[in-house]
Amino acid sequence: MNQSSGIIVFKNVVWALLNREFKMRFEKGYLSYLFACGEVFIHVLIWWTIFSFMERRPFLDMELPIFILSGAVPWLFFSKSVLTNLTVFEGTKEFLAYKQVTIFAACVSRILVAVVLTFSGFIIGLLVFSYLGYTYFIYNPLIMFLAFFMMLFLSLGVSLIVSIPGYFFPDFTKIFPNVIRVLYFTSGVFWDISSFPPDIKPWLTWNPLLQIISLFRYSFLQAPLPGYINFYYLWIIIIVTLFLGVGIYFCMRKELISNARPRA
Amino acid sequence: MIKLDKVTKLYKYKGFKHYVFKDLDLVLPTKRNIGLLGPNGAGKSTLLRLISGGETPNSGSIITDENMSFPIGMGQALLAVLSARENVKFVCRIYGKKDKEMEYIVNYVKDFAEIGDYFDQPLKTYSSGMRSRISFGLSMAFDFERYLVDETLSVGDQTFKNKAASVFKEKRAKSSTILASHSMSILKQNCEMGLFVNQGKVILFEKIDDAIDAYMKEVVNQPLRK
Repeated sequence: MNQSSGIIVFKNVVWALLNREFKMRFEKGYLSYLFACGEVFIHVLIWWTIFSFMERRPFLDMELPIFILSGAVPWLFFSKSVLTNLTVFEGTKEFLAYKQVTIFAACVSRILVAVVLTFSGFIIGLLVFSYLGYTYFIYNPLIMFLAFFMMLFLSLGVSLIVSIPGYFFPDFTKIFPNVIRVLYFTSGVFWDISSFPPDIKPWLTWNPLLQIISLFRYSFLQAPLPGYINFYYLWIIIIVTLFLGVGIYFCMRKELISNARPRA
Repeated sequence: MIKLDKVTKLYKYKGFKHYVFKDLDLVLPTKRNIGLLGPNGAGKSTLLRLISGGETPNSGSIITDENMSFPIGMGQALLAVLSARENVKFVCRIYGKKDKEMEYIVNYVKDFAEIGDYFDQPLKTYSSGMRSRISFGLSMAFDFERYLVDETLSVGDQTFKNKAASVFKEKRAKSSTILASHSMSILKQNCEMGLFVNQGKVILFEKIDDAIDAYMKEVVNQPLRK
């Protein structure tokens, strides 16, 4: 098999798995599509209601729902990708009987499902808030795309890393969602770093998720990017995570697939 | 040709290692139909999965220049929550089939399986015979140089057996097979060579009768009645 046919096979497998993921998730009807896409919107509604009761002032001169939406979209994309890939072996092992199917392709297809769902929710959210009279403008779409691709690569790297212990240690699949919960509260999904005391801020900015979410959010603002967003740091984290994820996967895949294939 | 070079295959469970094959060397010739026989748990299905590339050995290598089918078994490689139609489409997509080819294959499997409206019901509602029909029909819809068949020919009702045997005969005119079965008559009808698997040993016989004889002597403990 030459390189180009390898890529075509990989594309075919991802496409097949993507179709199968959608069929599995939405076999119960069109309402499931609406609910999955509306998850982002529901997330915004919850925090919007809480902040309204608290009479919270808007962050960063943004309309409150747009502020929350711009944090929820990249966050949900990351958390969905990583959490679904935590059990990627269990969910895919029936298909490993076909030599073309790889765990890597399954990871990629699950991330693509998260892309479709969260960004459909993003568009729905923007349309709904526009209809409700909230004003916003994407001043810097390139920054938005950059933040998206950074989150995509980071999600892939983290997904590959967590899928290995997720297979070998079943307890890990119960513990890891708690890490995601902690990250949810420390990644600036529904708050801005400016609202924290100065002595805590430098510690929080080490979180690459916070930096990427801020980057995504600042595409809605005319203001220059804040000083704590460090592109060198972000790319280093992303590249290291990807190398680590791909490296662990390639080192362990033989061990995984030689024992994880279904016994026909 | 299929060459197994020092292949070791083991399964680990809670620290216990169960060796199926240890340093197995084997060469299977091209365009010969090979019957695979041995007692339950000897490793026939594992050997088929290793040859298909769907499973990797723990050590050693398997080299082949043949276009191999996926193991045709009782439908374990199909997803229970999806319908037969969706499962067939899934396999078509893996093999890069476009819309028209996919439609042809779906109709072929539907006609072959003859399970009526069940074709659009989830596989979890099927009997094992119905699953076998889908699995066998699906593999026959693709052209491979070598078909790897695991027991399927000996399950199902007589109509299905006849139909499967007829389609399989057509396929064998252009391609070859490795057929695992406990039915000596099916092995004799379809294979010239025999591969006897027992307690980690794999012996290739030039004639299927000799393989059956070895099986009868070692496993069933009675000589072959010719």
